[in-house]
Amino acid sequence: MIDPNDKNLQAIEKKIYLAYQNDGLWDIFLGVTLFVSGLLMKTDNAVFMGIAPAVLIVLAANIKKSFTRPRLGFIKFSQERQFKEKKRRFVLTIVLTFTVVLGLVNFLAFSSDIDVLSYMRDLGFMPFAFVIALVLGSVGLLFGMHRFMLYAILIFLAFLGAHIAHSEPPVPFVFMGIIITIVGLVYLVRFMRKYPLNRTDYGQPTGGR
Amino acid sequence: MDRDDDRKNISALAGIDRIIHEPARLSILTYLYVIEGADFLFLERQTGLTRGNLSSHLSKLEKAGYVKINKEFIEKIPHTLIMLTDKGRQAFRTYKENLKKTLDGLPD
Repeated sequence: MIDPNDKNLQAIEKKIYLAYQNDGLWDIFLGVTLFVSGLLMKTDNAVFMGIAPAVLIVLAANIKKSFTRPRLGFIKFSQERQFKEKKRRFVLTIVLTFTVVLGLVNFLAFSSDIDVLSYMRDLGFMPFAFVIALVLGSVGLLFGMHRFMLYAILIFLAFLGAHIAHSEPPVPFVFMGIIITIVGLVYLVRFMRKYPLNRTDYGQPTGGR
Repeated sequence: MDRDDDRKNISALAGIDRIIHEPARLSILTYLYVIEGADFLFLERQTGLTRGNLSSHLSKLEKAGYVKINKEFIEKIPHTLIMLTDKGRQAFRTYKENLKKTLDGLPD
C-alpha cells in the first residue's frame, strides 16, 4: 500500500494507470459511436442506436486487450487500486442506469401521447445531450481522464447550438463523432510510437533469465 | 546544526541498501512498489533498460529476496510476472526513509 502522503509515488501509480487509458481506443469508440448514431438517425434506423454502443463497447474492450497489453505490458494493480476501480464502476453503473431511465423517458416523450411528457418534445435532443454529457463527465472525473470532461462540455454545446439553430438532429452527432475520433486517432498514433510492437510474445524474456 | 548532527546524518548513508541504491534497480523497485506486479515487457518499457540489463538486475533483486518471479499463463499466453516480496517492500520503505532523512538533514 502506498503512503497516502507520498505524492510522488501516487503520481507514478496514476501515470501507470493512465498510460493504459491513454491509448486513444476509448476516444475512438466514443467518436465512432456518435458518428454511427448520427448515420443511423439520418437513415431512419434510430431504433438501432441502443445496439450500436453495446456492440462497439464489446469490440473496443477486446481490441484493447489485444492491442494495448502487448505494447505496454501486463500490470497487476494493487488491491487498493482494484477496490477504487470497483467503487468507480459502481458509481458509473448508477449514472448509466440514470441515463437509461432518462433515455427511456425521452423516447416515450417523442413516441407517445403522454401529456406529462409532452413538454420534453420542445427540448428536442437536449435531454439526450445532458445524459451523454453526464456520463462522459462522470467517466472523466472518476477515471482521471480529464479530456472526457471536455468532450462532455463540447457535446452539450454542440447539441445546444444545433437546438438553437434548428439544424437536423444527426448533425451534432456526426460533427462531434468526427472530432472525437480524430482526437482518438492522435492519441492512438502517439501511443503506438511510444510503445511499438516489436516482439511476438509478451511478458516472457527471450534471453538472460 | 552542529557537527555531531552532520556526522549522524552522513553516517546514515552507510546504512543505505546498496542493492537498491543503483539507478536501474531503484527504478525497477519504484515501479513494483506502486503496483502489485508487472510483466517483463512492462518493466522493460517503463525503465528503458535493455532486455539483458533488466534480466541481470532482476536476478540480483531476486537473489536478495526483494522480488519474486512467477511464470504463469494469462489467457493461454505465458507471462513472467514480477512482484515485490514483503522483504523487498520493507527494504524499499527503509531505503526511502534513510535517504530522505540524510538528504533533509544536509545543509542547503
